[in-house]
Amino acid sequence: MHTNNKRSSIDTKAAQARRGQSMTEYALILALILLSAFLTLQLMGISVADVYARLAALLGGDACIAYDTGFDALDGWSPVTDNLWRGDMTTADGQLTGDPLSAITLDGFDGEDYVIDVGRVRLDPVRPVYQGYGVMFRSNRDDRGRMNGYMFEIEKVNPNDRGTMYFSKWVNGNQIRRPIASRPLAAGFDWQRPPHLKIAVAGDRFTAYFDGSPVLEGQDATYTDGTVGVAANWGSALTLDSLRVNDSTCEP
Amino acid sequence: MVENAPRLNDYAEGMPERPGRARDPQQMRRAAIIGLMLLAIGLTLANVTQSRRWIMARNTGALTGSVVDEDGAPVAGAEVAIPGTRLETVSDAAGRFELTGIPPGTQTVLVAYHYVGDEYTAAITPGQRTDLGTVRVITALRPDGRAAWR
Repeated sequence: MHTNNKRSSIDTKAAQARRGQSMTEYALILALILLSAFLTLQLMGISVADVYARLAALLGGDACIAYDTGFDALDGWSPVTDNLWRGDMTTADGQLTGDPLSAITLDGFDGEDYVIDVGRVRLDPVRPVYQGYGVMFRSNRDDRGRMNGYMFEIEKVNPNDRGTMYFSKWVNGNQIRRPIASRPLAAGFDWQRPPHLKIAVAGDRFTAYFDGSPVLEGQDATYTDGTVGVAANWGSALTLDSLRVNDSTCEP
Repeated sequence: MVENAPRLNDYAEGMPERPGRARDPQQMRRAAIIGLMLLAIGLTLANVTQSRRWIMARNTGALTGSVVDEDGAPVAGAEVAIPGTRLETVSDAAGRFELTGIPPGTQTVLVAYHYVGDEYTAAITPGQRTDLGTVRVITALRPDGRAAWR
């Protein structure tokens, strides 16, 4: 009996010792899991901020949002650094600010059909010529960092130009000369505060909307998927407060 | 004829020695060396014909052409590429280009100068050169560095 009590006491102490050790092990295992998950996402080129944004959107009940961001930081974005796009993009006061000839794309996002909801844009004239900005979609970089994809752009060549909007295709960092679709901008277009832009990408058809109204349609089947981005033209500095990518099935 | 045939007496002291040369060891070494060389050449040829590059060269075609500006002058440094592949080259001082190792079939060809280009299609035949002809690019540049496409 006495021996049994003694053994029981030893077993309890041993069990307590094991429990204490388990907590440390659990913490280490958890840390290892977190570290390996983080490293895996990094290796796959997926931004943790992007994953967080998506999860937050899902938990918030809006599963239609594939990506939603303000610009408190440029986490998950990377600049296009070929010889053409040589300006810098930075963030300040929750807004994206782009120098002339700057371009940036969202890493770790790869969609086929989606709607890009471009937030409030402000264009500050830096030069009187080649003002405007562009929104990239179905965009991919090759191993030399060159852009392959599409861009919607508004551009004013000189002060006398009313301006043109167009969809263009980019191959190996080169713009194909003949636009996929183009159209002159309406008289009285506000170049400093352009209208609210949405771009719907579905199959081989693209539609640009200004303030909810379709303004330009294009068709091309070269690129089927890719990320999104924004670019500032040579004559303009770009300020953008948000960018949202919605699932195309959720949009009217 | 029968008179010239050997008689039995001719073999009374055994088989006569065959007329022939005694084997010279130096000649034997030479023959061995030549044999080994032929074997090495054969193996090399077999290896080359089985190599990826050889197979590629046999199963792919080439594209040639020239790039000129708005006035018809040759343009050096124009980019010529098959999009979606690593097949790229630039035009030389005479505006000429040659792109090899192109898979057969109808291929899209990009010809670009200063970030603005055009796409063409070319029918590539294995083991043959396809001439794209003379391609015109814009060489006038906008202040942002792009060719002045508008």
